[in-house]
Amino acid sequence: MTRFMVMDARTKVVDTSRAVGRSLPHDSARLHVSGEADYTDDLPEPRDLLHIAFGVSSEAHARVTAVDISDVVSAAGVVEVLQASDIPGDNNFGSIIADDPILADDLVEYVGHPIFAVAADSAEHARKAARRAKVEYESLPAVLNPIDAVASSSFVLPTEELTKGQPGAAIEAAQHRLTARIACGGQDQFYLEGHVAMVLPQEDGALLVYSSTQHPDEVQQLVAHSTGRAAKDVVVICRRMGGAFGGKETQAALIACVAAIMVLKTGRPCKFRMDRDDDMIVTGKRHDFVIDYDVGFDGTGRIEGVDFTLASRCGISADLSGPVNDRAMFHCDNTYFLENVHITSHRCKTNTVSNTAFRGFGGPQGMFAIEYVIDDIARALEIDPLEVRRRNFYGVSERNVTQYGQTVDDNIIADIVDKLEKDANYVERRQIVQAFNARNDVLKKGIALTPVKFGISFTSTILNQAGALVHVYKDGSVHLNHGGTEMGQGLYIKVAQVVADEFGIDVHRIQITAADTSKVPNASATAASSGSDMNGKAAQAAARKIKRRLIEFASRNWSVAETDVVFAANAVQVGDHTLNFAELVQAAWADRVSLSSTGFYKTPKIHYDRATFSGRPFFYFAYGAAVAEVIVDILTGEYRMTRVDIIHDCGDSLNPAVDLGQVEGGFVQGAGWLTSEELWWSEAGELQTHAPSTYKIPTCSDLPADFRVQLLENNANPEDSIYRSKAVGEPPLMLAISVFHAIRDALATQDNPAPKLMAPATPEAVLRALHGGTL
Amino acid sequence: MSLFAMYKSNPNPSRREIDDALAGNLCRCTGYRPIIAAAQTMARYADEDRNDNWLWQPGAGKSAPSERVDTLKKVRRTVSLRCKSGSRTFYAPTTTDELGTLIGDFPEATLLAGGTDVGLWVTKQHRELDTVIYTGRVQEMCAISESETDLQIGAAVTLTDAMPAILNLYPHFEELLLRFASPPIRNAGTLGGNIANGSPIGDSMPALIAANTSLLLRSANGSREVLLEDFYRDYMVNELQAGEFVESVHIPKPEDTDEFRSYKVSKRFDQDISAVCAGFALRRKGKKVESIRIAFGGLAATVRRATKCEAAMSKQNWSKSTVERGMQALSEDFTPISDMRSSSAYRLRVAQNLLRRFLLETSGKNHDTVYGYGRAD
Repeated sequence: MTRFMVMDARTKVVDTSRAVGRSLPHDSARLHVSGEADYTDDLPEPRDLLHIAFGVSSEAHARVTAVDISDVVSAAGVVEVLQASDIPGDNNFGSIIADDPILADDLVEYVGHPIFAVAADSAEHARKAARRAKVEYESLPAVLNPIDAVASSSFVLPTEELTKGQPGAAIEAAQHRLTARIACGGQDQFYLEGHVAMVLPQEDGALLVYSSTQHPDEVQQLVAHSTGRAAKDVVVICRRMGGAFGGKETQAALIACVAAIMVLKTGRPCKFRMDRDDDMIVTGKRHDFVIDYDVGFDGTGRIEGVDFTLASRCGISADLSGPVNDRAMFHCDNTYFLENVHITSHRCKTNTVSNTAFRGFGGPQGMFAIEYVIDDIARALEIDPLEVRRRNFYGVSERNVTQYGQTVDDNIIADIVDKLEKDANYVERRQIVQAFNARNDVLKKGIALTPVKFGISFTSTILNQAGALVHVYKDGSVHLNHGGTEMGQGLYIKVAQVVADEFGIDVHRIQITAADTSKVPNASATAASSGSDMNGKAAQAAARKIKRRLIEFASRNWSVAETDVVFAANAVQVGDHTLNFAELVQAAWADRVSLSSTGFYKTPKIHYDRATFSGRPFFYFAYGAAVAEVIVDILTGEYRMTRVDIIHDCGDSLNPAVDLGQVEGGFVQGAGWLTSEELWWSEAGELQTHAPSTYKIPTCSDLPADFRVQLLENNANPEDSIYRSKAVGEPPLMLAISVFHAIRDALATQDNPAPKLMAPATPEAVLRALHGGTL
Repeated sequence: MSLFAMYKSNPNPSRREIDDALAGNLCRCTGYRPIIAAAQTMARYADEDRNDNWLWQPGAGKSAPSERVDTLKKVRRTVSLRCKSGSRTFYAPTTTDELGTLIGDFPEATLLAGGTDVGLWVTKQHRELDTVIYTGRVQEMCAISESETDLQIGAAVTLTDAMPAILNLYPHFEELLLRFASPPIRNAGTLGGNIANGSPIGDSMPALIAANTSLLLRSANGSREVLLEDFYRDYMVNELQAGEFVESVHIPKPEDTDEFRSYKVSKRFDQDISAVCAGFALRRKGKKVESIRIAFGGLAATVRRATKCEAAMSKQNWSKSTVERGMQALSEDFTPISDMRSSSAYRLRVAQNLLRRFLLETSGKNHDTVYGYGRAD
């Protein structure tokens, strides 16, 4: 029978006079369920709208010697065909380094590389026409995986190294030593709403862009540059996305730029909505990693020194691969103190689509590496892996400096793991699992507890800034805008709760509005789990400025001390006098008080020198832990999760219901990454898993029958984050590493104590591990 | 919509029923827990004030007011149809005679049943289908009947209707139903379509070949019966002559003492295409194998029998050593391909292991071999 145990904040004592800390429903929950929420493709379409499709490369690496588009131009409904030479501005959508052409010119570098775009009177006509081009190629040698890339020194960025202590000597001197090569796969974001942009020509050459993007500012910049305009000429709006997961951080600009250039070429509004196959072939994914480790440890399992070589598939361009791989280097410790460590990070150039951000952003791959090392040590020493984990945990006041020099001064992992071990009944269940395995030949159970520590902040310090705009209208209702984007994660309701709390009003008095580059400029991407932390603080700052003016006015008008003006429960106490909020606002307006304000926030304390990989890149850490139990059929390699227990740290949650959703959804998505989601390329470099028929994200039945999730209570963030909450977007994804190790645990036998299981642990990978790596 | 359909027919579903109802509905954000919770509590959503309203009454799907059912029946057309648009024509005949004549006249026409594959030819491959003949209105082909010896399933019977009839005779083919698509697809897709389309990874055929199923083929010139195992010639090539179609599927009734199993293995439990799909039928005489029929999908260009494997085990004791010989022989029966679903080596290894599982499940000991709902827990 299915059992869910969910921490229900509604049953707890909560202060209902406050807007923060309450499990308010997502602001669009009703619209989502009824289908009335407008996504970019749902917006009313203007007259004469054109639809776009890409014509793409069928070669992994080749010179393009001829492109014959005559049959495309003559196809039904076709209005225009765009090639690289037609681009009026920069042919680039690379965000950090300008190495990503919007349309390939004479060189194609992966199967699916866009060569031209066709605009037609319907999406169907555009897609049909795009297939009619005759492209001639002169093939070039292709590099199709990270191992070959390292062998041929094919990199998108220079190899980076980080050293702490004396790793070489420590490994040599250690009592025990293990080396191995392990691997984890990539992952497609598989947002249910695919990439889409609709661009409308405005008067005097300006452009209005509706884009499904996590980063409207970047879309604005890149649309301006590619069309030969300035940012002032382009407005980008995004009300919501149907999921993004990092896949719409840099990739959305490609789609928007093509639509914008097509608008200029045709003078007509254009929409570019990719179909699922094109979306999966043409846009970037999570990096797969090949990891070599060399570890020295003592007889108790404590690590003396470790050396990692990480090689990741970056694809054809840099995109975000620099910071993704940096974050992998920063998370090779997870919750463990590494006194002597050396990390080499290769950013491999491969003739596959350029990989990009995906929830966790390198962190999951780094953690995967160290958790595998810990598991291998435990299996070598025949100790419960949980004990080895504990022996290596960061200390609270000693053994607490990371490999990049940041002191971990908020460590709560030991407490979380102690509580989880007890709540999940780990010790007894481990024995039950062993007893089950002793009497079953075909079905084997496994159990594993893994911890998470995830650094919060963009590692690039400059990105840690946010803006907001708040208007209070004469009737006391409030317009809220900020630079964050809503992708279903509940950012907008959380920020609205912050503003409501500041004014002491109900959330429904606040209108939450679309991200819009003309309201808040220069906003960072909604990424790195930073959305509520930064936009919440920025909106709070804006609300506080207005509140300050209202207090000053009330104090003056009613001759009371400023401290005697108190906002709560939709009312304002002014000395002995009580007004409702709208009455105060009306009076302030009549006194010509400004009721509009911007707000700004920059994350404090952080600093980081990329040249030496040292400093304090993270404002704080978010923690969590999970116990997964699985049952594996060793005849087929198929498996099911039978029970999962999670404790996760959201600080003092702004909205426990929303945060719980992030924890559950992140865990299941992480489980997909490590189990059924497999990216598979042919020998010619064609991605063969580009639709739901071949790329398998978890379904309903993959959720464990028994799933118990708790948010850690009475747990204020020691740092001054927004209402002492913690970021929750990415960290829970890595709780799913427990599932991988539970599967591995189920496969271990006397003869094969440390099965060579690789991720994703598809049934085939499981069977391979059972048979020593080959079938 | 999937939940609403369940709310109408089964407002207090089990977790497995919820999973099955939602097998075709992907969610990338929630992790499904709140959706399952909603399904588990939806019976409570009945609005007391609107209890007389069929739409809002849980579990009322099968007892809708008769006038509504009558209205819906009137909407369903029973006349033959021909629609023409430019160079394209759509036919919906109502009798097998009419269908036979049409196919004779248009041998290049696309025969459309549930459209679960043909639909993708249009939406994904952008193919233009000039002449389409729809089988769903052919009354004879929408019927299920039973004779003394056979279960006869019209080729246009949906999977939703066909599966229970098959499982009624062959309860151990339950994995067929458990892992075969999702309710909306089973409501549209047909057994005849699955067979006639003839994909090497079609899930119904291994079990049906094991059960010695035959097909009734028909054309304007008459009809003939062929064994399903003889129907497939090569990759996507079958026995159908120009002008011929599959009219019905004939599944023999099993002997009580015979043992049957159907297994499916894929990357993901629900809604995935098989890496390997297997059907087994065993007849024993004492301890010996009197006859054994084994068919696999996913191992070759067509679904077909493992004849060398069968021969290696025939007339031998049904035992571990016999099965090991059978497993060995399987590698002579098949040289599977490697693709994105699995490697050649995995397919072969799993096929061999499924034979082992069949032995374990039929050897009298109470082995836990399959974890699933209501099984080993």
